[in-house]
Amino acid sequence: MARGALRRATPWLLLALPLLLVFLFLLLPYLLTFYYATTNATIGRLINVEEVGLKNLQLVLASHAPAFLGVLGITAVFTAGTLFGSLGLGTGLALALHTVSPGVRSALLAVYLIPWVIAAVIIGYTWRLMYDPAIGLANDVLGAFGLGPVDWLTDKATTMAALVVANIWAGYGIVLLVISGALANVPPNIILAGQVDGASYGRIVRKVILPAIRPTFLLAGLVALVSGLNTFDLIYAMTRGGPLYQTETMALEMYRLTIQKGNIGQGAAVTAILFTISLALAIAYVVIWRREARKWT
Amino acid sequence: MDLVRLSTLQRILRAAAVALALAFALLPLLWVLSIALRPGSQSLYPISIIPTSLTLDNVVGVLFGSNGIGLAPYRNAAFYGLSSAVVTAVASTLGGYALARYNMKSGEALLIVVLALSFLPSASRIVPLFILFSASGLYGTSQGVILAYAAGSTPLGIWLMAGAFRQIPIRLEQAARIDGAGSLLTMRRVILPLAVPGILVVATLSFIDGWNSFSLPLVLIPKADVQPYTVALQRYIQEIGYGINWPLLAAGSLVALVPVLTVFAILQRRLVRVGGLGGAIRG
Amino acid sequence: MRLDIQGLTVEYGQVGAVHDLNLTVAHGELVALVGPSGCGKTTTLGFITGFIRAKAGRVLFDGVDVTGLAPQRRGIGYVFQDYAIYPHMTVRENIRFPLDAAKMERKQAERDVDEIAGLMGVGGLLARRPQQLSGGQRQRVALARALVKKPVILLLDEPLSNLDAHLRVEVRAEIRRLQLDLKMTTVFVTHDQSEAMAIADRVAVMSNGNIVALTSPATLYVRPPSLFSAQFIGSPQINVWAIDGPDEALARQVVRPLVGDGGAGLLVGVRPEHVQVKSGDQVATVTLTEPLGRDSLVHLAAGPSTIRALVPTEAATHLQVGEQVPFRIDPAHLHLFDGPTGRRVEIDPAGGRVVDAGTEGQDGLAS
Repeated sequence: MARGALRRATPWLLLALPLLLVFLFLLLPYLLTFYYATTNATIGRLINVEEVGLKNLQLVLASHAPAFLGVLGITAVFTAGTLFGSLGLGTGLALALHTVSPGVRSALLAVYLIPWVIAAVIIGYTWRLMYDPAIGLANDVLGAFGLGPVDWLTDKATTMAALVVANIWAGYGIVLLVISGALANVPPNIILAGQVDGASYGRIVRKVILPAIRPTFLLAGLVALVSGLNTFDLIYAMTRGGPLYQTETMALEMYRLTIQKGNIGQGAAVTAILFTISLALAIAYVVIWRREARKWT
Repeated sequence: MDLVRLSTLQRILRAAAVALALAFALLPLLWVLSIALRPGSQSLYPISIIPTSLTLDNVVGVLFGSNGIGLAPYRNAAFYGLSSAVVTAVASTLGGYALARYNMKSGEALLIVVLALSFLPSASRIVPLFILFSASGLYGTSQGVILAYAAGSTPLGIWLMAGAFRQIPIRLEQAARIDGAGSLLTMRRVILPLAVPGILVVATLSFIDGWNSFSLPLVLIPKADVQPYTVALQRYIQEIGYGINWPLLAAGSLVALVPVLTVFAILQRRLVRVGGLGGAIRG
Repeated sequence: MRLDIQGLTVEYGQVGAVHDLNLTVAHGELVALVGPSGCGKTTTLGFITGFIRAKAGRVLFDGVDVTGLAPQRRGIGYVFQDYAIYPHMTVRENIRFPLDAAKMERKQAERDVDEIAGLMGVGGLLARRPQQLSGGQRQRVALARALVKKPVILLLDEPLSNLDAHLRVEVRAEIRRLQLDLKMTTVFVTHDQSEAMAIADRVAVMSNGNIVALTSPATLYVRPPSLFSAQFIGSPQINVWAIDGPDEALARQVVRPLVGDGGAGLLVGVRPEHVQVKSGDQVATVTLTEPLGRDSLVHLAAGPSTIRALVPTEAATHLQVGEQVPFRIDPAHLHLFDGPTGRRVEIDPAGGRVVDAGTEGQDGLAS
């Protein structure tokens, strides 16, 4: 029956535009990346390229100045710092806000969330200003404790820490928001029951509240992990990977190889690595999310 | 009633934590504000924490001065952001409705793929899009950037809209059918009006993403006159020799904050609610 | 407008499936579909509207097959259980929506809205938003919206179940009056047997995807065509004892005047109000009395069997738990059912059994 056929086709007609958009500008580029990672393409030569197999990957892995292992290590330090910093700050603050009245809580949440809507590159400039040796506030804060002054973004010892703090500032708000939402969904009765049983608040947090929000905590952690791994704008705005590749993460390496050196093949190889890790994390996210969603439905 | 009774010490600790976090959240922004709104002569070492006088000179300088970036970069960013918001809203509404209302065998799987896609961050798209655009002729065009932005925002948009449509009882659609309304009238008079809050959120998130985007236009738009402010502001930073024109850079950043903070202030409640869901994905 | 459903078969997992269902509703008649949840009554309603696609079956309006017609072209009035009032429209816009959809000229539409709103007693609420209405008011708005386009058939899906008990009785009577005035062919779905009895010309009892009894409320009560409908209709529930089973002694005793020592395979039913307590030649022990209002439900134990009897509350207050009381069951009020099939059994004067052969689902269709 024609009506039945039309009915079956309707959802696909509706999905045609969004799927086309997502395929052409999201999926296809990734597929192309995996292809170009195996070619000798450069900025000047995108067609008539030769297949070179895994040579790009080998060259990337064997590269010096910066050594790829170093880049991996820097990426790991930056990502781990961001992850633990924003999870710790976000969760701690969420717990503190959990005990205030909902009206005050949502007002405070809105303030803490402001960085969430600010462009990462502007956040980079903002913190660069904070760290400026001449007119930055960071040294004034240190000075108040009798420390400093420090040349934050040029001293090898402090650059990474300075970047991580800036990235935590950019990212902890969303962790706070998500964890706050999870805390609000913890049944009040199990907290009341804990008090009736005579447990201290600290004990209730450890034994009752934190276990209850564990899945959300995991999901928020994965989000922080992926966004740390893929941070580009902020690092580019603050250090461009310097000084002397001290903050060159994979995201920056990818940009440098492709755009600045014009070596599409090697840039695509780095991108493919980064994408594969991100995809694995995305899949982990979906798996955990589905397990949780099923529990609640 | 308080959920838990805290000791005085716990209350003091809580207040201290909240206040410290507020200082951490707001100090950098206040400092940008303070540098942007003080005369350039006061932005030199040794600097006073509180400016002795305020001026809009720097803001005017960025927008209209000879060393300014002009209005165009902001207009470009707004154009890209708004266009992307429109494309995202349309695509997400269509896709979200299809996935929410039609019982397709592949619908569930598609929704999962959409969730995974919305999780992938934009940095990993810089190189792939550069390759695609170079190969296809979209390099340097505004259509290309807009579609790239929109494609990035659409998975989360579809996800959110599917949720929004599921919140609208299917009974209302059935009631409209029984009342004699066809598909289009049902869409126009019943479903879309009820979905407006969701569409607004999706469009806003997409606009903010587009307005804030830096790496994509940095790579995809070589021509200065069509670049957004994020790329144009770089001119105030000279990597060699520390030459940073802080008054103008701060003023330029301040101008950039106005639209997003305005939208955020207006839609804050809704964004906090829906964003909690979206943010869990997007980061 | 006459409504016919022929051979409707809908396959779901288990719940809501319907097997070869036939139903005719005469012009101006109100038929109540009643049955436990999952029996297929909502599925049947969904088929009449066109939302549910059947594996087999046709629906005819005045003899015209509308099975292939889209819901919006059937001209049906429908009141949903949760009313499905458009939350973003005022009451006026809600009621006018069907007229807008039919592209009626605005002035005429407003006149029609005012008229039906007046009739439904919501004329003063037209500017309000649905959120500002009480449950009863929403119900009336939903009814007004269903009726404003002068539908060919009115379908009511549990329209009273979201109302308070006292309001339910009031609105029930209002709906019935209105339906009689408008001579509207109506199908009324409910899970509440007393509601179905009160409002309907005929009651269709549904079970497991089919109509197991279709007759007037009085007949259904006085002469239930099957064990299922006997148990479903009437409150408190009918007593049923099987000849073959632990209740054998009591069942045989009660049914002896009709069948003597025969009766193998029979189920014996008697409604609680037909058990007379404090007179009679049989004896049982009072185990519990539940005052229900005018009457009390008295539980009696006779050997292993339980008897529920409806006794005027005034008389019941004199009964003590543990007290032995005489009771009596008039054979004229007995309902006999065939054990394996559950069908009603009559005993002819010669003592032979007559099963209500094949009338399952169709008996009393004469009207």
